[in-house]
Amino acid sequence: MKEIIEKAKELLSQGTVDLVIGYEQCGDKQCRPLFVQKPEEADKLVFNEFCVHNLATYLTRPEVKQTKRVAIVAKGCDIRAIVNLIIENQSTREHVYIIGMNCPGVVSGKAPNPTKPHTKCQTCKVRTPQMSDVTLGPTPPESIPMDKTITHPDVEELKKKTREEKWAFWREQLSKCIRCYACRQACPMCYCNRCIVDLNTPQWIDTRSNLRGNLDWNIVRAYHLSGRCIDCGECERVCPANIPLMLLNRTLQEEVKEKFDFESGYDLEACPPLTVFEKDDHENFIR
Amino acid sequence: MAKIGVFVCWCGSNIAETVDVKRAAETIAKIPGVVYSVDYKYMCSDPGQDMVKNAIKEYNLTGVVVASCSPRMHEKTFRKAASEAGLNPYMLEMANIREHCSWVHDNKEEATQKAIDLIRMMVEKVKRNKPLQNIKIPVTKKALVIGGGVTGIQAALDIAAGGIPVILLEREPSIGGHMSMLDETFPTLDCSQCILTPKMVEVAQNPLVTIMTYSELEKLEGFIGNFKATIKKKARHVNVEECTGCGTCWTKCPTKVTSEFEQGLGIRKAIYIPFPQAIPSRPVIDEANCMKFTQNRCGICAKICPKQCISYDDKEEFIEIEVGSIVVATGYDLMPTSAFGEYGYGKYPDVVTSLQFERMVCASGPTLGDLQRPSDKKKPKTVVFIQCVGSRDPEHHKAYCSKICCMYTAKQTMLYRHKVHDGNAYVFYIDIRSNGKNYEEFLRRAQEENKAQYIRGRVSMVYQDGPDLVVEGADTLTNSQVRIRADLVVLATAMVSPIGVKELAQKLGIGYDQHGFLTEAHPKLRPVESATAGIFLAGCAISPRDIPDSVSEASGAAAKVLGMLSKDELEKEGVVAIVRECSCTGCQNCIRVCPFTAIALKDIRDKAGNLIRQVANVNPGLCTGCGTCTPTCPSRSIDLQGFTDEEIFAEINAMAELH
Repeated sequence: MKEIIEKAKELLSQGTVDLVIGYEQCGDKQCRPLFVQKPEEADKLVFNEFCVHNLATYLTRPEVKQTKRVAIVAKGCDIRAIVNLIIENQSTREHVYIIGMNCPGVVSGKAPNPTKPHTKCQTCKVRTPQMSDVTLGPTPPESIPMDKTITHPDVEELKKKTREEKWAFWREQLSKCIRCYACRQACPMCYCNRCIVDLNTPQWIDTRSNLRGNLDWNIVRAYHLSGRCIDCGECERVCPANIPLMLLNRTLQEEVKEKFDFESGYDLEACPPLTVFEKDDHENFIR
Repeated sequence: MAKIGVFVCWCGSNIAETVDVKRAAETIAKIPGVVYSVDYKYMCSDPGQDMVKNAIKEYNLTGVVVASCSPRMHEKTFRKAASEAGLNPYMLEMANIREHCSWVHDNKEEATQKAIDLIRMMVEKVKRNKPLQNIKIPVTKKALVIGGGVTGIQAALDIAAGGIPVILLEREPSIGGHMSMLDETFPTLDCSQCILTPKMVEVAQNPLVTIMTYSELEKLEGFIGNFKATIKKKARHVNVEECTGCGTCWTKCPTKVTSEFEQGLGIRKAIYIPFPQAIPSRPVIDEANCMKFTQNRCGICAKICPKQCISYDDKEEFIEIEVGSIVVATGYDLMPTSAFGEYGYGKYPDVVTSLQFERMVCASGPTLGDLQRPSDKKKPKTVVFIQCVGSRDPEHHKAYCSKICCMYTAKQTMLYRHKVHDGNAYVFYIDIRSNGKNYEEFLRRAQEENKAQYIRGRVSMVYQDGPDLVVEGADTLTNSQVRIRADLVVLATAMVSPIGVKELAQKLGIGYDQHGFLTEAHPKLRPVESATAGIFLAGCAISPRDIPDSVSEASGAAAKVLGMLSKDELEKEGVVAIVRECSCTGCQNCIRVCPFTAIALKDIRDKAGNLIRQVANVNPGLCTGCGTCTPTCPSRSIDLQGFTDEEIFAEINAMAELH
């Protein structure tokens, strides 16, 4: 990955950016985020199928926001998060230098044996990244066309269940939640400096790890992500309780796609549909 | 420590019959924090209000709950009383135990329990209420009247008479509206133009009135007292200042177009003024028909104009104006006659609408008042008038009565007999409605002196037989079939809301019904107000009306405008949204959902002036307290004062803990 290292060195030494966020190898089958502030530190930068993390989540951290300009190594899917952050006024296009990576796909599953390909990569529309300032890496396989509607098999399976079966399924899954909030920390779209769950006057969400509190928390988070989730899968990857959080998120995103013909993170001009109203919006939910 | 007073109203028997008010007051007295709880027959009466005032002073109350009717009825009354006793008015809440309880239940035990719950919820809320201050907002002393028919003209004149500048907006090239098309008017048979044109001239000459014709409202922002309207001035292609209205252009224009003003019975040119008394008496080029625009040739008018005031390159203009108040007087249209196949409109040239008939008999009409039927210019010897065409027909068309057709049909039979003394006028009717001053007498004159023959029943079909039309119908009074050979058939088609009104209402943020008629704030007690503060309604925009009703409503709306604009400052409720800046991320959700554009981003800077972050910021003058922003905030950083999360949560908890 010489070209990333060279690019990072160039950006840092020329003063274009004062921070590069990328990946470094840690162990055979694992990578981790790397923050490079000096050109000589850039040698550790890598890019391979273990670069799963969505580094866009760091763009909203105060330390990163304070930089003059930041460069970020981003896959096409990660750029969707950057697009949303710009739309939601959490970053600006000028502040971020996007080192876009051509990406044949990354792995899924957890270390030390993350071998199977990631679900999101099978339906990827942005193997060649959009909107990057520079694009690196060999030409990837062709992406799924932008206008194709993606349906995930696991969402289809879930839809086949009756309402009672779904309720039982989610009760069982969400009862496993230990309220560590790793999902929130990893999620690039969860950037509030005071999360609603931390609010105690009034306390809308029970913070105890019981079923009611877990349902409240996970449903509120899923709802906050509807029309905003960019399908990076970070919440599910970091969840120590192995809750299929992406199933919840994808169900909502497919719903948004169906109702509003909207997929988030592809268009800098588009707003999350649940925060705008148009005269020709569907009104069939009013009965 | 909260000291709450609770006042349970009987509302005569309205509440007391279904709710055990005594028990409710006694139960509530036991809630911690409640220091005074009482029931009384009419809390809204003077003695009732005095009870509230006295208790506030005597018990040093920090909050009051009045359990009675809807706050929409008496919240103002009681908040005023509280304020007179020295309590911040927002520390008084109403528990609605009438509309939400006694009126909708009949089991006294359960209704009493529900009433207690409702009061308990409000007690818990009022304990957490914070004193709020009303907000004072400046007023732009200028009004906008939308619609330049007789209603709009009257409203503009009356507002100007109060010394307030008015902009009169009309989408057609001239003001005057439908009234300028009419011949003579019921019940006095005075010529419509003779009584309208003096008003048109008066409004044109009034220095406080600015007339904007051929213009439409493009966008409206702002709020009561401070509206900002964007007006789209369509391209007229004629320099209105330079033009003298000499008429050379339209005399020489080679393109003939059927005239809208003559209801398709006459022609106009592609550059035209709609009628001789048009105001402004300046022509306009109809781009859809002018050869310069359709084929890029001709250009005669520009060549021939002695003042060179024609420009084909004119583009539509957008003008921003600031006004404090708006009157919507958009009038009506007639229902498209294509809907009535059975009457043969469009198929038979001698089947016409009532408005076409007006033009046929009008001295300024295409035949200069000489009544000729369209097909062969023959003077019709027998005319059949059909009433309720499209009106009072819920199965097929409109369920409502168009209100004016009975009277104008009677008038038209008279006008007809005045032109054709030996003519026969037949009227098919369902019922006759003549409930206005001198209306019944007028109708009798049509029937008795002018020999109009009224047949009660519907027409089943109209068909052509040789040069004549045959009208087949039922006479339900004699229970027989009627067949009349007629020379002319006149349809009294339903009045409907004009095209574009729904879009206009959406721009204005006012309501409309399923027919597209604008909705009053209250059908009886606030008939000329819309539900949006500062926007008033008048005339046929609300529902079918005759000229006297429209004109009086115009004056009514003008009085409302003048009342509002007579003040230098308007006071509005302190119920507005407020941002917790410490946790706001500036994500702009609230900004996007706010229907009143009351929220904007605010920069937070450090001492050196560097931008640290941006947060939402509410303009309290623009905020109406609708609360749309609060649920959309992911971090709950925007709250509605008077309905804060904490207050609402306390209400829900009070209810949830009981069950």
